[in-house]
Amino acid sequence: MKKLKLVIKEKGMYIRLPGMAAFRTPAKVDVTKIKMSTLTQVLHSHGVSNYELTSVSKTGEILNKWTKDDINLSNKKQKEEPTNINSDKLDRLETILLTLVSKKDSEKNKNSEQIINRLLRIESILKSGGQFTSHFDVNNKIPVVEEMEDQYIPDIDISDMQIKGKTSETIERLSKKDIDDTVDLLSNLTKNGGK
Amino acid sequence: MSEDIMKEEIAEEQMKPKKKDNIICLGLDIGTMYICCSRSNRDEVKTTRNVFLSVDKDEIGINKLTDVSYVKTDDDELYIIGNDAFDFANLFAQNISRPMEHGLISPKEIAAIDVLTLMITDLIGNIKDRDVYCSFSVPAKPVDIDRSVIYHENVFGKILSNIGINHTSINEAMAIIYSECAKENFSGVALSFGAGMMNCAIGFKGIQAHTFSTSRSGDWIDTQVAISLDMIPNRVTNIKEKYMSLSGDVKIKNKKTKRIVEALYYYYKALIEYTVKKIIKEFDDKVDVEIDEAMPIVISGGTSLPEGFIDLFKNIISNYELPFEVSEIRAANNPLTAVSNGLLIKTIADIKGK
Repeated sequence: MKKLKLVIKEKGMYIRLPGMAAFRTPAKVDVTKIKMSTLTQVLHSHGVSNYELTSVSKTGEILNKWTKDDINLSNKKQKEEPTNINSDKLDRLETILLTLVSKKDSEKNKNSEQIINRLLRIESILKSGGQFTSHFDVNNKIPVVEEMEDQYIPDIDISDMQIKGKTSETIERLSKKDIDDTVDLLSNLTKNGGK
Repeated sequence: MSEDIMKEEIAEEQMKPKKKDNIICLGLDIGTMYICCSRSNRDEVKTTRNVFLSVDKDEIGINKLTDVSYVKTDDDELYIIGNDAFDFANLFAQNISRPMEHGLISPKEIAAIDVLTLMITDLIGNIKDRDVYCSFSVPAKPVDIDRSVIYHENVFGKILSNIGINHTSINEAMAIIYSECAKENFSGVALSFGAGMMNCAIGFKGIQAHTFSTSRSGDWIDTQVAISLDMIPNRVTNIKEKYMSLSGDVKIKNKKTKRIVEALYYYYKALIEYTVKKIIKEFDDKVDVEIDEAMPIVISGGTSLPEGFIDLFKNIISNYELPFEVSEIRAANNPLTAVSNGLLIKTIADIKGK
């Protein structure tokens, strides 16, 4: 199944997409289940002007890439010819239709002609970039965010900072014996697999 | 570097350990209101208030800050930190900056990470030439707000790496089971009522069976009271910390303070009701482990400090049928240090097992 991934390279933004937990940028997020118009609107409202959408195959191969400008153009075209179809459903439909064609080709020429016409239309839609899905799954609230390691955390630089005064206070005296006894119990329990 | 660290450094230099004793274990409880540190080679648990206040250097001269803890940058930025920030903010009716909210690093205070790094470095103390291992606390994913804990965990991981410390994260409530449930073979239900969140862990024989958190705890109480009475939340916090008691009548003469304490009481009750309902729901929906033994409920965290909290909790929970048998409901030995001590115990046990 193809996946649609949103890539935002700009650092330091806090993005909240429908049906997902908020995340920080830069990030690569699976947005297959989000309606395209909703996604572009939300990104616009967050002030995200520089982003990419990539269509990725099951094996991780990048099939197609769109920038914000491509998406705007494609949205204009869509108004003329609606193509907002689930790619997964398309794949399945294609398989069913092909089976039907092979079985019934000799019997009903009229039907097969119709089927072939439909196939050609589906093919043209897929070639135009394959628009993805119409609804987001409300139950899937956990975003598949591919963390770009530590890139999204600002660099820590305290070289120009100085701390003065007494910043902490003591609130308890530790009993070393109690700590050691508890550590022994926990270590033994772990060693013996909870027995 | 603060004077405290320098003194500590000199003292430790004089009794420098041999190589095999070179390991230091730490438990670092990073809470919304307090950061607390337990250290294997120090017999005291240290804490600092996790707040700061940005001040105008020209309005408050540095020479006036003799008894105040603060951070100064080369760009002449000035931040009053810890308890002093809290006191100053109350004095001038200002809202303090809090690096964390709802138990997680705040998205609004990204700039605070540097200040936080400095505060944590100072709190941990000297670790020069030592192998340091640290378990730090992380909350569980909240069940009632849509927030991820990934960023929080990574920020503190990065801060500790920056200081040169080997680190691992442990659920905050599970740490309470390590420190408080040894006699039950590390089985129990731990509730950590912090400032930003209520964290719950169900531990069974030292293994984390389930964890979750809710976004309602001390800050929620303060905010609700502040909204109801049209006040600044940190003023409510201040009164809560000074006067709050959940047992008996309110014995305060000042009418305004009395009204605030009464409002606090109502929201404390609402918080406990809410928490108990969430525990039952989580148990019913998510806990698959068959637990035959009765388990203790151990309550910890700063929000559980007012006198009468445990009795109120017992009273409210008795109105519900729980999906597990409870042997006892008790407070942690020290609700402010239970997490950091539990984290220290886990760090030492892990190092010992290596």
